[in-house]
Amino acid sequence: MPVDVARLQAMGEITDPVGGISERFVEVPLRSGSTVGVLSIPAGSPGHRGWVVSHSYGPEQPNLGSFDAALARRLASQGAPVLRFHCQGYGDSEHTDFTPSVESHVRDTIDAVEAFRTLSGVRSVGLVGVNFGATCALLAASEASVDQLALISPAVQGSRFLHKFVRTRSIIEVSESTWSPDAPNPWSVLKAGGTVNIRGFVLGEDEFRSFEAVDLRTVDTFSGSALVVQISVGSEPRREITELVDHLESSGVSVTRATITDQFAALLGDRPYRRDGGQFLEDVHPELRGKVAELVADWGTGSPAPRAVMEERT
Amino acid sequence: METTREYPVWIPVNDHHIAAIVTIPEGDPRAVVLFTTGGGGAPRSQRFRLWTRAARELADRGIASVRMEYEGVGDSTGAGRIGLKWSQLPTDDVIEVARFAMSVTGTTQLGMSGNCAGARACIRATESVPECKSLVLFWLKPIAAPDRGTRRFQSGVRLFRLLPDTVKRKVAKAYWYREGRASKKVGVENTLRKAAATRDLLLIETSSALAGEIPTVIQELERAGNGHRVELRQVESTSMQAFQSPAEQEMTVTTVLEWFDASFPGASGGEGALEPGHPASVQGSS
Repeated sequence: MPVDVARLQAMGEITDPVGGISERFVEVPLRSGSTVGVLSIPAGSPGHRGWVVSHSYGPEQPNLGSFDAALARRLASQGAPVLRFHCQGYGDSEHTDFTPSVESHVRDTIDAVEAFRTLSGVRSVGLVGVNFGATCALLAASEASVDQLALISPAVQGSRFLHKFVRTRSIIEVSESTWSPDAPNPWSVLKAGGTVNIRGFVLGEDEFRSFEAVDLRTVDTFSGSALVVQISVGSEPRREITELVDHLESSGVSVTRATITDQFAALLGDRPYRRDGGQFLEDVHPELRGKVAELVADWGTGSPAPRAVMEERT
Repeated sequence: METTREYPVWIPVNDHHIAAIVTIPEGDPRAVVLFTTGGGGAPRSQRFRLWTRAARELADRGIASVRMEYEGVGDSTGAGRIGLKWSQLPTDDVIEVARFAMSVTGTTQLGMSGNCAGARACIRATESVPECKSLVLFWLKPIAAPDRGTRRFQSGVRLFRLLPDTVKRKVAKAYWYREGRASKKVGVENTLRKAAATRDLLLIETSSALAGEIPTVIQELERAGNGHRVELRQVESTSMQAFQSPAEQEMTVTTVLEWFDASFPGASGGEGALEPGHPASVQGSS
């Protein structure tokens, strides 16, 4: 029996994954090669604005996949078409031997915005991302000519983001009793130009240098408005987020700052499934995803957001 | 990618849709392999894109595949909640995706591969998908009990570690037996025997106690020799989390390619077969 191509093609689209939208798998051409994306389309006539989701780096990309999907679906349910996609080197992208870098993330994001304009026909595009996805969104914003940015828990300093991975590795080593007092400090190894394996993700000197060069408090920004969301266990403002907001405002960006508190905030970007105390593994982030998606969707469509989480800066 | 085509799809299962990628080789597929993941929320490409790599390399050998993600994971719809007990595994997802894959690829030569909870779901699914001719299961870990995270269980583990080895083995056996009975008389041991009776079965396990009675059962099956390949490869893993070393990642892709290529008619001649001394064959039980 031959392959049923017609059926395969027909099943690349889904209606109503959440209220009032449909989704379609699309091929997204990037300079780095082809990749797979999902276009979320609102029912009825879409607005003139659309969104592209910029995903995070390394092991965080699969861990935040459901987060990105929730953001896309919520924004689409508010009337905006949304594209989420895999940067080259991730998921279903074309080249299996491609090693992603900060630069390739940013370049792919710029290309995806261009592809999205063609796919959706929207005139105005915003970028939304979580953690390092937010970082890449800001780095790509100017060249991609976007006019809205939703930065969810952005990694303001690349070196701090990378350091978090290294710390995670150390915790795993200790928990598995393979730690040795004679073992070299992995952060020192990386800084000295060596290679370390961070939970199966190999990082070397090139990655270290390119992450070290990232500091959102000093980058060129864009023309438009930004939502900067801090996600933390407590509500105390984080200094680096404050400094980022100050930098954006001094560059002429209209900034709305918000804080969302969540007991699992520290796990954002980590594997989200935890034992529920019984016989199930459960995603710990559905509530946080819901809050973030609601906030971004309301801000993106100009609806009033809950006062408890939002502080107008301009 | 030059010789393959990939089709992203959503497959309806109960009240949700499973997101998956179907990879089609040039020409009629020799077989189709289902790839699934563990219970930790890994996407259809698997951590480190292992299933994406394996799918495309299988296509180069004429074998189609479908790589899937569970309800609530990635682009799938529904809630992110995965049962761990044998009777609560996401077996329905695996069964429906397997049937869909056979239907659209036009072959009933089916293979399945997964890790951890995904491995357990695959082996359970074979009862409903008799077309399955070959299994590659990573870290089946039948002793990774659903109550492992509880304080009571952790206390038990601490006590267990203090026991002499001979007593440890008896306790582990008793625990295995209880787990088998607790899951509606399905039983890990019986499931393994049934699974191996009509298909090729490859198990990749760590050498930890989590492998339970698997080595004993596999040795019995090997001795019985029913005409199907049955094999256990135990690896010295550096991590309790799967695939967290580059060597494990390479071993995983190579193992899948070599095993499934040899399972289905029209084998390509063993390209990628494991060399003696490969990490995956260091502690083979056969």
